[in-house]
Amino acid sequence: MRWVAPTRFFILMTLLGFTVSCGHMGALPVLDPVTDRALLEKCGRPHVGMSYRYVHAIEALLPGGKSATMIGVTLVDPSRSRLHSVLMTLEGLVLFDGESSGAALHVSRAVGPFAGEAFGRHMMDDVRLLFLAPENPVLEAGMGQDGSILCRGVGHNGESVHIRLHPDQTWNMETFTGSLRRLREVMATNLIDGIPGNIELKAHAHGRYVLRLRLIGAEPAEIPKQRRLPSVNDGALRHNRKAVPLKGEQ
Amino acid sequence: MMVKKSIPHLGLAGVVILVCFCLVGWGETWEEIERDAADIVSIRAEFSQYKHLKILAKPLVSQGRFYFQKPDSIRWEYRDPVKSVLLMHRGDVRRFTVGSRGLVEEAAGAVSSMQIVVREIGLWSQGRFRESDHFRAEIRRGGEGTLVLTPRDKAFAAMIERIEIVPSPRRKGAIKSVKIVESEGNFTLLTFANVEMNEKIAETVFRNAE
Repeated sequence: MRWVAPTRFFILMTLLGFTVSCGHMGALPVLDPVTDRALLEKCGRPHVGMSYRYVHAIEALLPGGKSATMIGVTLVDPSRSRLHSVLMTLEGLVLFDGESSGAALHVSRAVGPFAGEAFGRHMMDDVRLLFLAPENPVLEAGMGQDGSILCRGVGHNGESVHIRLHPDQTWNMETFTGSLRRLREVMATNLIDGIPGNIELKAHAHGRYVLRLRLIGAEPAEIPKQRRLPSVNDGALRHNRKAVPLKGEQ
Repeated sequence: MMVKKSIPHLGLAGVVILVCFCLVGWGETWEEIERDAADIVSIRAEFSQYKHLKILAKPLVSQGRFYFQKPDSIRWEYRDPVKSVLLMHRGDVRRFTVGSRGLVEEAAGAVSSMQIVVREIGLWSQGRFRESDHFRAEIRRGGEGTLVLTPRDKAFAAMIERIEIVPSPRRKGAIKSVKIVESEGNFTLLTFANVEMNEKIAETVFRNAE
């Protein structure tokens, strides 16, 4: 069991970087939290604003052309910025079982190459990027010529987050350091009631790999009371979404 | 999220879960188990895998087929929710999975661990549980007469607490279920249907993933 301390210095550096960088999206209007509320809410579309449970088939493409497929189960509680993630083999052998709340990480089971602290931290960072809206508000947003909405904000670890919401409801997300070094690229497609049927995450830092997630099932989740932690993200957007049946419920 | 290092115990644990289905032959004593197991040459069956996790409200169900041919050939095939085939034949172990690039052979775990597994299969398929270096076997009398396998190795025990094998009450030599217990509240239950024994199985079933 380990708890990993957060890094806040990075956030400050990125906020400073925001003011001088235009990024690959070009200059965007700075948002007013009152008058631009509708646009702000749209920028939150990639992340479900309520407790949800997801099951994915995860295909990991590794350097050297190698690949491995696993099953991932993720329980997301946005109101408490809390994640619980389990990775297992197709045979059901649990490789990693970790929970994070805010920036703290608690690993209850990790075997083989999944046991390193760095692995757990980076994995939960990826899960957080995909399933939890950043605690920091979106700073800039605008409309692209093709009708897409462009949003820019600060991520969980202070990284710059660029989101492009397409008219067909699919979306892309990229994260950068303050000096605009690309960290992650995410592409979400085949959405069902706002939940992506497919997600591709490309890592450009902390190892180079690609994760392709195929949704097996998703459902609203009840978080047990005794597991609740003090709220850190009560301002999260609320969405009314339906369940995608888990296998065995059909 | 990188997966680079060799994972000997992980590979062994993963395949051992599959190998449990090859445990055939049933009796009240070790001698009876060994005698009954000697009559089984091949098995073909459908399986359902129910993964129970604390994080899940309901078990995650996977389904597929498996084939076994003495002495050590196995085809373990998932059809849903992820299509995947694990082949073990003449000491060679390979896994193929259908993903974004079609049917692709996956990165193997440590080959040495697979060789250990194949040796285990050789022993278990003959009912020779007591000779295993990796599992301590115990017959629990009463009830359904469960066979319980407990890892001897500490690293292995960190992944699997125990395996419980329940015999079919209707058919001698067949298995009703296998329960792989990882920790409190986290276990995998496998059940079988349409079991066919000692039918001829083509060698290509164990060589070709298609």
